[in-house]
Amino acid sequence: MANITVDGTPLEVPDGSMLLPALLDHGLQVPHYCYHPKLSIDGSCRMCMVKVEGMPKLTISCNTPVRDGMVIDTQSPEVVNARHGVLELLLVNHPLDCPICDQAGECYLQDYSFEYGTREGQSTEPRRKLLKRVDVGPRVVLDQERCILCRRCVRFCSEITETRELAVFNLGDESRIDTFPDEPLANDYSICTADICPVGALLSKDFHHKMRVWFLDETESVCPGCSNGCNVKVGVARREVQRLLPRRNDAVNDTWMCDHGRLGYRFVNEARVREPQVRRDGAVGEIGWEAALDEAAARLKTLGAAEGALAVIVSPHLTNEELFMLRELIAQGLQTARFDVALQFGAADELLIKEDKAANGRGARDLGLVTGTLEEIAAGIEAGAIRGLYATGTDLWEVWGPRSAALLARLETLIVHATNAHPIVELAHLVLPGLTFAEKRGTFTNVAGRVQRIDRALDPGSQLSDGEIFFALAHRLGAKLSTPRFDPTLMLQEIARAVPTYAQVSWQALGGGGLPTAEREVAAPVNAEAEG
Amino acid sequence: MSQSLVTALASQALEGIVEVAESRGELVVRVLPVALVEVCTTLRDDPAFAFDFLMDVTAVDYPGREPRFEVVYHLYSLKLNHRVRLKVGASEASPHVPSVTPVWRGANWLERETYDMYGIQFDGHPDLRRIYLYEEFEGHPLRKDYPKEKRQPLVTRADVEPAQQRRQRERDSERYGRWQ
Amino acid sequence: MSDTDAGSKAPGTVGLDELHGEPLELQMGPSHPATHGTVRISLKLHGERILWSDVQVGYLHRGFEKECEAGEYAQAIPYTDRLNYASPIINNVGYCLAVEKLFGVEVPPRGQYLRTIASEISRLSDHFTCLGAGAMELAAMTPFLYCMQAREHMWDLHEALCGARVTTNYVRIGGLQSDAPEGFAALCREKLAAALAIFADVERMLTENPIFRDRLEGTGIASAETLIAYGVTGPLLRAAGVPLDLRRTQPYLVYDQLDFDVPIGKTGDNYDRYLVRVEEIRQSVRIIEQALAALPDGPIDVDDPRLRLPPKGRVFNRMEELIDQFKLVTEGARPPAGEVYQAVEGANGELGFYIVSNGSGRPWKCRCRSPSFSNTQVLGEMVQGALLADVVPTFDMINMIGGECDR
Repeated sequence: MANITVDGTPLEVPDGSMLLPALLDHGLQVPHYCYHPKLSIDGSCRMCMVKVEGMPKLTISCNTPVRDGMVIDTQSPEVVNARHGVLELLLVNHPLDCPICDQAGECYLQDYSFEYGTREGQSTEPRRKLLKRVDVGPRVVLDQERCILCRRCVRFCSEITETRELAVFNLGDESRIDTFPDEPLANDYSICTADICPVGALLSKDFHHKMRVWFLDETESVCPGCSNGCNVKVGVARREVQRLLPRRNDAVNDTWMCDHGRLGYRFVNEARVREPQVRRDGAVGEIGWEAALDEAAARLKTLGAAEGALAVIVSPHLTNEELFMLRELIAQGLQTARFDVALQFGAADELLIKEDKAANGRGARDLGLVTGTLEEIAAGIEAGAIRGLYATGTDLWEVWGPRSAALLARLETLIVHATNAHPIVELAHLVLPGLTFAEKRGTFTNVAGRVQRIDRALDPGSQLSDGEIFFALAHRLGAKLSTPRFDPTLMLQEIARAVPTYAQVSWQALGGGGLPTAEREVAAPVNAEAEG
Repeated sequence: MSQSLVTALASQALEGIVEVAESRGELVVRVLPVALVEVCTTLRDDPAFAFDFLMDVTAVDYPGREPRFEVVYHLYSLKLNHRVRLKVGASEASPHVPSVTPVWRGANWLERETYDMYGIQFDGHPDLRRIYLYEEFEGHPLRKDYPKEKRQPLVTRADVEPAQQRRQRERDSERYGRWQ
Repeated sequence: MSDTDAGSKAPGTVGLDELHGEPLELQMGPSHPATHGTVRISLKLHGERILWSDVQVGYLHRGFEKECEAGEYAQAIPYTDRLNYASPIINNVGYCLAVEKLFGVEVPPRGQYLRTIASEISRLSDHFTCLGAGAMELAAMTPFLYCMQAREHMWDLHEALCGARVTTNYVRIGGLQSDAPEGFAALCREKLAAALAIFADVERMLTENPIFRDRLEGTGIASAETLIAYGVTGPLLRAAGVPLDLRRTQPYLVYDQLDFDVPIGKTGDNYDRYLVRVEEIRQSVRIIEQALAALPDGPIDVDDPRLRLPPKGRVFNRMEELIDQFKLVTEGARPPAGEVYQAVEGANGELGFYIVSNGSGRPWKCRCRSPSFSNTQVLGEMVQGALLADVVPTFDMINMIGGECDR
């Protein structure tokens, strides 16, 4: 560690680090544009300049290594003047787009200009004209005039995704960001360029003109798009999820997330099943919660009485707490049932996207719910031995593929937990509404064994969570449960007791970044028997 | 802010005063709850201070800080034309502060308002009850954890009307018609 | 005002005390034709004498403080209009002075003069309301309507300044909503003359009126010691002979550069309070005339982009100003963390604002020290042992404005 003095205050910073990240990690405000903790150092914006005693000119703190004994001044008149200069020149050609620009409210140019800028620009020249609303890619739109040429996007495409779609074209006053002809910005992480763009030059098409950011309530959570568990912020306004943004977690996703996960929030808002439904004599009707739970318990009890007549398909999208509750339900109320997890696999890449496409497949595995008997269960239904199925999610439909409809139609009893309208709902005898990841508290375990918290971003009202449904059913089936109610924090304590690798896990200890449960990163083994 | 007041406070070194600070030209004095009444009596009677006016009593909520509440008094002296702000801490678990009604009678309603809005109990107050809100109101609205949009349970006539009055009213409405 | 239950009895009669009975419990309010303001006074009477009273306020409590905490500093200004709604500009001024103290800025001279003129116009509006409504409650309808006419002239001036008669929202943090319109000085003089002419008639009807004097003289007396112990300020206190007026003792705006007298009463009864307000009307007119004559040219807003919006013409055409406007409107002006207490002389007494800032765009606490609240507290003591009929003029002369008392 090196000891430096900043504005008269002594600070301890890691040896060998650059000055700017050291200052930022201490919570000091030093304006910067081109520096990003996960990209190479550029030194092009000149905004982070500070005065180091002993150096004749101001230095850029992003490219100045710390040395023991350094004395730094971030508020001297020279520094203030330098910031004025940089900002004034940046604003000379910047379009007056604030009222229509999405970045407003989280725009570095606005914030720094207000804090550190000059009050008036001296230039009366007309601003340079470039292209606005350039369709650079399927999910990103570019406004060349707003760009301040910090080159973060260029470095991202070059160093992180290594796809090199974006580049700076022309020189000097004619410089602009653009793509090559017929080579759109279409990589799987394209919207990350909109994240890192400090101004509103690169913007996500999905969020374009949707909602002003100061109306958003942001909640920390985890993306459910695959088993990587990228940390996100769920932005909610008007009781709908408006967007997902990645959160920094150096152990999981740095500061990135893939486009598929980012755009995978829409199901929270659309075509939701909110009330239990029952099918009688070919007609579907809504029934109350108590009646639905009674009906479900009765059917499960009848089926459970006969050996091997009931199968439970566990959804890997449930939280660890709900899976544990389900385990209790099966162990104490449905002892004769067969069970397995409906895992889905797909394409993976070398960056963040993982093969296991469920948010909590690893959690289901750690809790002992994976038995690898999904095919046997299908065979059992075909043969008529299995007459009832309790599907705690709709993933089964995708896993069994085209034969699902025929198989499920053979069942006497099909009870389904569903969050959205789905073909499987049409075949179910009893539908219980489920909650999405944005509406409950709990934990997911990612593919590397890291347990991370998800939190409630939307209020589900009086709707029961899947865990609460399992709890109610377990009660009706006469199970003796260890907790008085379904409470994620209490369930987590139970899990910590029951699973050795989870011994250190508690709601408080997880914090915002989660805790690892495995010694080293272990990839989820591919289920050779599953299709896809 | 009066220099003579600063000097007087420094020279007298009243017991119970923990801190004297200046902020934006105003004098702020932090007092221990147990010494409040005595300090206030001195501030009122001692000719060096002569704080005959208690202008305001209120509280500020700092959740997460210990003590959570800060009861703030504003005093003014007509004779010496100076002001001072007193601050007393009140914890969340036991928000008790001695009442200064023995020193200034005007503290009566001001402390009732602070109790109504923040739930601070003023020990020794002759009549500590809500002043703005109705008796059945639940909670203390100016606390930071009271959401602005919170709805209160409906208080129906049956909840507050004594049984005898209700019987009388029903008899009357039978005899004389609906509007009773 | 003769005593029927004390002293000598005619032979063969029985005194009130000897009649068997219970005190009469009477509710005055919250909606009562003889009280201007929503207040409930529970009374226990013995004949016409008040044995016990409980003044219950809070019927107009709207959560002013909670609302201020939920919005930005500039958004609180319309809420301040609705505190003492009879003199809205004084509330605006008090609040903005407090926030400007937090920022450490002072409005330029023209702005200060305009604020002074507007405050005094509001004070006139309040006094007309008080005296007019007070007379009405003693069954004098004519002076009431005359005072309302005089108040209309004052409201015409409010309207000329900011477009609204009552909910003015005229003052801004760091300046004013807009400059006085062309010809304002002439309009002002014209309206003041008209109002004074009407008020001269009101005085002719009330000041020497035997019924009016009978009701007000000697009633509602409280000693200066009592008033000070209750924290009473304003005309109520000055009528008892205590020369406390913040415009003199702790001047703000340009009051220290203007010449005016502070009327003081002698006995502190309701009649003195009436006379004090009448004289204050004359002094307010004097202040306005001097201020109009001395009104300097120049800007009305402080030139500080941290708190004052840039001129609209530049916002639409220049980048820096657009950004400043955007940040100020969406995040609000952010005063440095700290706290401040600023008091101004409201129409009813010391109107104080205690504001605590945590450095963000929303106040952590915005407390309004209300003169009406402290003044109304002493009502109970004033009417103790008095006749029921005395409650009316006493309550009138206290001039409890519900918005200010209950916030």
